[in-house]
Amino acid sequence: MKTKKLITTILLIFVFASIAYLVANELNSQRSVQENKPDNLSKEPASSDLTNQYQPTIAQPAEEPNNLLADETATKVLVYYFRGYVRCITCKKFEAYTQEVINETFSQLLDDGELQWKVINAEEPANRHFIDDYDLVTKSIIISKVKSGKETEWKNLVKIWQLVANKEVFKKYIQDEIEVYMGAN
Amino acid sequence: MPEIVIGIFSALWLGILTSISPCPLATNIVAVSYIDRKITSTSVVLLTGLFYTLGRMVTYMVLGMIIVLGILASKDISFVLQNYMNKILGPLLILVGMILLELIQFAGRGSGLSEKTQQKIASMGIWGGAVLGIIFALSFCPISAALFFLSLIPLASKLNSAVLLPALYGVGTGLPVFIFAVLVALSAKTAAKAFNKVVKVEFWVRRITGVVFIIIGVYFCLAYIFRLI
Repeated sequence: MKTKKLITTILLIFVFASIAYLVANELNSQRSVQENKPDNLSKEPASSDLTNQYQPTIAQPAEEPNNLLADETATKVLVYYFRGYVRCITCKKFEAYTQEVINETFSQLLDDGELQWKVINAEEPANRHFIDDYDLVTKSIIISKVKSGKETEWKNLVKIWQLVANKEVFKKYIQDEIEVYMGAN
Repeated sequence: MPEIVIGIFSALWLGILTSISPCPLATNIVAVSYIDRKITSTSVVLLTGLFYTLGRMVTYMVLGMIIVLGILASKDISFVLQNYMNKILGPLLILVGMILLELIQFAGRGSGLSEKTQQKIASMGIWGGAVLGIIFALSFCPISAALFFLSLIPLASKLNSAVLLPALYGVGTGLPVFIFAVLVALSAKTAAKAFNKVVKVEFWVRRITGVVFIIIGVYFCLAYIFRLI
């Protein structure tokens, strides 16, 4: 009888702690959304958001090349992977496979700043505007073209869900899509 | 073959794909254990499984109508459901598990329940299958969100089928769980009968159901609320 009471008490404490943590987190989140509202006009994440971005170990440019910053007419292609807080096995594959394609095929373009690779937590309050910007319904890879500082076109690579089971086919799909965007510069 | 026939099979297949993908595994385990908790009564198992599938069917049908008819956009529904439903699920499953294990009781004063009350609880259990189906259908995980919002909804919009295709998708998501639960129940019942231990088996199955609810509930709390997994 004592064990039953003890288990009941522990479980109830856990349930109440979970609810309290959930409510506190939500309130904080709402506050952050309010504070970040002025930034919503821009599609680029605020500089503080960089902490939420995955830092690839090999092929991430350390900083924006000066020549590209100076040239306002430069065209850039951005490859985004939008994730959430919870990272499922399939979602991790999206990120890893795309990272591999960029490292293996586009490292020079990445170094030159013509291609950028960003992993963003779309559930972070400061990044939630991306959900509206790109009509995101779940974890997604978006490829975007920016000309003279303005986004001219973008595409949601929706086939990732069908192709993720076959790594090579998935990588070929990502590579082809990036090449189309890079080629049409 | 007419486009709508291909659409019908596609919707059903997309639902089955959702159900057998690894991401809803946790909720599927809970559903199977719930459907099978009255293992000795085949009719209760069948009815609970049927109500579970109906619950899923109605949910996706309503969601499909809301989106295809343009009342709300996919993105407005998808992230809200993915974000909040999985968080609510943790504490909810633990509490239901505690009720199933009789750690929390709603019975009135006095010892034991009357036969009428017991019957009422049994029928509530069957309806509980439908409630479970609705809640689990709304708890989107990444792959179910992708299959529903990125594959099924465009298909339903293209074929102008706001009701039929989403409903069939819902049937597809419930069917594998229903069939698996019935097979488990029938084999367990046969084995229990062979060993003459039906009452004992049912006693343990009901407890296992409660424990499964609590374990999966704790998992959901750790993963979606505390973000530790």
